[in-house]
Order: sequence, then structure tokens, then C-alpha cells
Amino acid sequence: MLWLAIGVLAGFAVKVPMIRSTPGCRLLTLKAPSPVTMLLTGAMSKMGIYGLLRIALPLFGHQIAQIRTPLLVLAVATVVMGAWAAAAQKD
Amino acid sequence: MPHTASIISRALFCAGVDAGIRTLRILHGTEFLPLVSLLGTEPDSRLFLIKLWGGTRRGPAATQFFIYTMAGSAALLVAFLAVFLATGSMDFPHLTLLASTGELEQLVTAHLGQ
Repeated sequence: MLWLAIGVLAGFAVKVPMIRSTPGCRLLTLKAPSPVTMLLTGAMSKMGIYGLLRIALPLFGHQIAQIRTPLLVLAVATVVMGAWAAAAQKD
Repeated sequence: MPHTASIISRALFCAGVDAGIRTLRILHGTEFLPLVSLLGTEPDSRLFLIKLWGGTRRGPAATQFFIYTMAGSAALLVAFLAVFLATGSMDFPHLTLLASTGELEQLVTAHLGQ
């Protein structure tokens, strides 16, 4: 059951994306027109969050609670690495 | 050429808004098959965007993006297939009810082990 929860979490983590699991996102934001960038970063990535809240949490709530600490580490790493990558941008 | 690029970007933006609305409708529903088909096809639009407007290394980035998203979707599909094999249901409200009573975990463990 725990592995199923991890599989579902992995599926939605890629959509979010967690720890820049989609490296293209950073490259894309460099050159894309503003509407496209806005759509990608402002709308599409939130779909992963919605899926997590709508599907993963109600079905695998107990299992997700078991891996709370690694998830916290991943979340903090995502925040810090995202800010770091943004700070390194020149444009 | 800039005019063409502007038209393409506007068309892609409209297509993206439409895809977003469809995503919300599917995620709000209770059926499983539309969700899986959506998660399987949704990365394709972003793949084209990376190929078109990516940075200097957009080719490898697009390939990496495709592999990661497909691996994630495959993991999601396998997990939900396992749930379906154990419970015989793909109705989200029903599965949520089973999970809240602890019955889902018992069914999955009985059918698939730990």
C-alpha cells in the first residue's frame, strides 16, 4: 500500500514539478512569450497540486502521513532550489 | 515572422486555457479513464513548447521532460491499476469511503500483499 502511495505521489510530483523534476521548465521560462510562460507556471503546475489534494490525499492519507518527513525535506528542497535558480538568472 | 510567432503564441495560449478547463472538469469528475488519458496526453503540449521556446539545450531538456513525465504517468497508472485489481472499483468517492474506513488498505494488502 505504501508503494502505491509513493507511485501516485511520484506521478503528481512530476506534474507539480517537485525539485525541478522537469528541467525544461527553467529553460522554457527564458525564451517563451509571456502568455505561454504564465500558462505553464501559473496554471499547469497547479493541476498537479489539485490532483494531489483531490485524489492522492483522500485515498492514501495514512500512507502519506507515514512518509511525512521525506516529503517535508523534498518540499523545502523544492522551495530553496527554485529560489536559488531564480537568483542565478541574469534575465 | 514576429507576427507569425505572436499568432502561434496566442493560439497556444488559447489551447492551453481550454486544456486547463478540461483538466479541471476531468479532475472534478469521478471517472478514472479520462484522468489517465489526460495525464498521458497533457505533457505533449508542454513538450512542444519546450522544443519551440527552450533555451540553448532545449533538445535534451525536451527529451528529459518527456521521459520524466511519462515515468510519472506510468507510476500513477500502475498504482491505480493495482487499486482497481484489489477493489474492482474506479469510482473515486467509493474509494475515498473505503480509504476512510481502512477497508481499502485491507483489500489491497489481501490481494497484493504489503
